[in-house]
Amino acid sequence: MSKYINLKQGIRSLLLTLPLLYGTYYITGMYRFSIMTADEKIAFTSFYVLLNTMFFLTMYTKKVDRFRAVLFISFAVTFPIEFVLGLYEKRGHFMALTFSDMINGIVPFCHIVIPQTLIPMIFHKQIIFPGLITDFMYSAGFMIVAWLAVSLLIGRAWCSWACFYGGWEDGCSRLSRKARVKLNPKWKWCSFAVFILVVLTTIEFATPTYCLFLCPFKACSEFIEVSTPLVVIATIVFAALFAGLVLVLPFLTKKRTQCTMLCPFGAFQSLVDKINPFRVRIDKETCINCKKCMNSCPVMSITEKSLACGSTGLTCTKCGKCMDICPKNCISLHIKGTPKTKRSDKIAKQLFLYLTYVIMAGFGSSFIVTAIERVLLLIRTGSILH
Amino acid sequence: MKKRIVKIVLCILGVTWLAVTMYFGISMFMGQGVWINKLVVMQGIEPSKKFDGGDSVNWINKKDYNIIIHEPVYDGVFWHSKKPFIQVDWLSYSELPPTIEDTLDVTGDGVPDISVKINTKELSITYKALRDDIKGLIDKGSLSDIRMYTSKNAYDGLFSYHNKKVGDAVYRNGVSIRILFKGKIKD
Repeated sequence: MSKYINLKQGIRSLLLTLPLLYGTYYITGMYRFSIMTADEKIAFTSFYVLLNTMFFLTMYTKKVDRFRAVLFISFAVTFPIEFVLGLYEKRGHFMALTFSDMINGIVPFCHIVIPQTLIPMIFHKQIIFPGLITDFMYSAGFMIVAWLAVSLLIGRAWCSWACFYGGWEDGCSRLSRKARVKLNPKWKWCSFAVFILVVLTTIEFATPTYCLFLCPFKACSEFIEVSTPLVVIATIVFAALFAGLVLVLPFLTKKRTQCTMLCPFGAFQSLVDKINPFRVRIDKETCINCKKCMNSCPVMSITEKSLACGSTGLTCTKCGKCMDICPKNCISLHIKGTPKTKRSDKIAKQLFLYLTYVIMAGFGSSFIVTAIERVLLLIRTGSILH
Repeated sequence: MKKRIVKIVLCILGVTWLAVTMYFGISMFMGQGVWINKLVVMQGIEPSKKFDGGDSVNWINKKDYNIIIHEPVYDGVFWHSKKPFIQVDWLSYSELPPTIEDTLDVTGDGVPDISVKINTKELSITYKALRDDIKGLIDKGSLSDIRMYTSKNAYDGLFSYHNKKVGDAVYRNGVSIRILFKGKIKD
């Protein structure tokens, strides 16, 4: 038993968890506990305990990815439950987006549309999206500010810690033990091509073309009502992309293929990541070139070239998988410019984890908590709708 | 020595960079309402006219409803396509009549352009184009609970009323159509 439980390490981990316990008490809304309904109490407490337990285990085991994945996949699974049922309550129908919904302004804005809307927004003060600017949880204003905040704090780590879609692929890529198909890392540049293409076509047609034709996550959120031949084609395309890039290929390759090969937001976020000071560093002196990190990287960010440079590539999402798998512990997070010492890397990792868990608390309290509440409602009343 | 100074300077820059990003990042994350106002609302950012329907140019008052005719909206952000559309809304304070029949001058040249018959219950629309360059109707939809600023003669598109939070929910029901033109609208 003592082999598994290290008391000193446990106390240390608990002490490190205390600031998060305090911070997430407010961020998740637990401070309203006394005025909550019974369902809310159960839902909020479950999420609060889950989040802090994952953080404690991260501190205790020093493994980042496996506990991150629990929360990240929970995001992806609970998001559609809350989102689709919420849409039904607001619009009176499920996932099909009608022209009436568009002109009434009840179309939730999503972070993936941000790179397409930025140029028209900056130069023409127009948002190329049929949703509200404020006054709504999924409004453009809310998502843009949330994106800016998260980008400043953790950069492209958004894709592994805050995206409410990525968990689908992350989950599917963990279902198989071994990669059955090997992907060429050059495929990752495909998402940059998609990014340029959708930005240009959005400017040309004043329509978010990625959302209209390509986004596979319409399969778990909402899609345009099938009414014209063009929409039929778009529906076939996104359904095929969802099946191929989100479900099948991640299972076969153990990579997050949609994030790597298609997502324009991911490509854009790789560039935005430069405003954030957290970087993943590979110590070339201790590296034994076993390439375990290279094979395990879900976004093909580590290549021979990047190993030689001592850092991860442009597309790194700071998921922590390479840090966990490295047998020599030579991969670490550090703050750009600071000295390369174990102590400074430890502080950087600790700080990064606090930030990411706070962000997860903020996002998770909207999806996971409400999804648990709905399940409880279903058990109690037989209806999942409020 | 020189190397050491460079290292110290880089370290100071790195930590300053971290402090700045953390300050702005956390303040944005925690105070979203304030930052939405600063970065989006106060900058005058609005939904694209393609979705909004564009500013209104004519307002016709009828007994049971009002008709609002919008400006022509073209595709494209920096340049215009050749095929604009004009949105027309029929809005009512309570219920729209079961059938609406109107002949409209949507281009503002004093000559009727289109004759429209709407079954508001089934949302079925028949129309007769009275000019050659009308290609057809591209979209139709029903509207509900539109908060509108009625003290102005015109309004700036439907979303603006949600966004600016002005007025109460005045119009309870409505129907919108979009008339597509074959080319640039001739006066």
